[in-house]
Amino acid sequence: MIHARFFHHPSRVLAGCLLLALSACANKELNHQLATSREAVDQAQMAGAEEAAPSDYGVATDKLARANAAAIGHHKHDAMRLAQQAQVDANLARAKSESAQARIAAAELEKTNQVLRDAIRANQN
Amino acid sequence: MNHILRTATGAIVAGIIATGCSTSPPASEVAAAQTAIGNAGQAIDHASADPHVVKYAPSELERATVSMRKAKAAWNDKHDLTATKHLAYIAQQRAATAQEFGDERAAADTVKVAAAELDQTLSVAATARRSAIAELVLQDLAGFAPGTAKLPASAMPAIDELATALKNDPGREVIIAGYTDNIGSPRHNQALAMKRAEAVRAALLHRGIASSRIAIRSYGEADPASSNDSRIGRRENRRAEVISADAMQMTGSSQLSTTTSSDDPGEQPRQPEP
Repeated sequence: MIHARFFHHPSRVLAGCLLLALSACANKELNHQLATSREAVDQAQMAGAEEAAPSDYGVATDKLARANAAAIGHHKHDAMRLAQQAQVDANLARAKSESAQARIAAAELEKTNQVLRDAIRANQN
Repeated sequence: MNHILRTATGAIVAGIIATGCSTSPPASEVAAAQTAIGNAGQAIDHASADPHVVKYAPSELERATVSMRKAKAAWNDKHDLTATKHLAYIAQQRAATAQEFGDERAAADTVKVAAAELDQTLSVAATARRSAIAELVLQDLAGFAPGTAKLPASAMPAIDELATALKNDPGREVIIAGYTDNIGSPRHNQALAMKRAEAVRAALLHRGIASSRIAIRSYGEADPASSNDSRIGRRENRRAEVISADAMQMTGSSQLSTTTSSDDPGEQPRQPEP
């Protein structure tokens, strides 16, 4: 009953509570970051990043998985950093996917216009 | 009393260790920190030099700059290589993201100009009758399953007929326009409608029609053929239309518009700060 004796002293009880409160606070921050990163990865996937930016998307999902594993293993600093990196990686993957789609749309439209211009020219002749 | 003394001694020792470390980081760590900060700085400089980034992604660029400042502080104040590399990486990725936002906006500008030109052309063409091919296909290419771009089996006879007609008339070119119902986000529907148009094009390519004769565009959920309020209406809206360029009686290319649109939705909302 080492624990029971340890907490006999009131100041130790107080210190223990403080420690618990601090770690709960740190956990909350980490859990929030993990959720934010998860959302960023999901949004990247919805934007088609799996196909359009496979390497960035892969890095993001890998880091998110490692962040979750680190959180379970109580490596909070590692978990936090990995989760933050997963978020910016996912945002980049999503941005790449969206800009690629915009470029494709632009190219298709220009091609359409070219077809029409040719058709108009053909009709004039 | 004793434990206060112990704590004080501990703090002093920790201070000495910290000071000792901060005065002489190993050369390899200095090089690693410099590389990390240098790469991030390069990415930020590159993005800052792009007017599209500066105009349309200022907040992402600012976030990159803030992370960069933190990275430099982590090195200069604490010689914490892990934190420095981490923050420099964050800065670099954010700068790259800002760059992509800028690229996207540049492409969107191109789309606006080209779409204005196309809409002008099509509105002129709308007064001309559509060819028999267009009428035929218009009726039969509806009924894509929700959320998919797989051609419905019911559309196959029309595709076959269209391919045959195109083979018999080698001068004819077509525009395939994809549409969706109003379920889902406009951005998603824009991409989905493009995929539907692509599916029709793929079917024609498969039947031996040259890709140079086929143009595609996406209208997304715009211009519904029927009301989106009913299930049947939405089914009719999940469609692709084929317009034969041959059917267009144009008066001349001078009518094509190249005016730019100036509406600016600004930067889209993004993720909160990590």
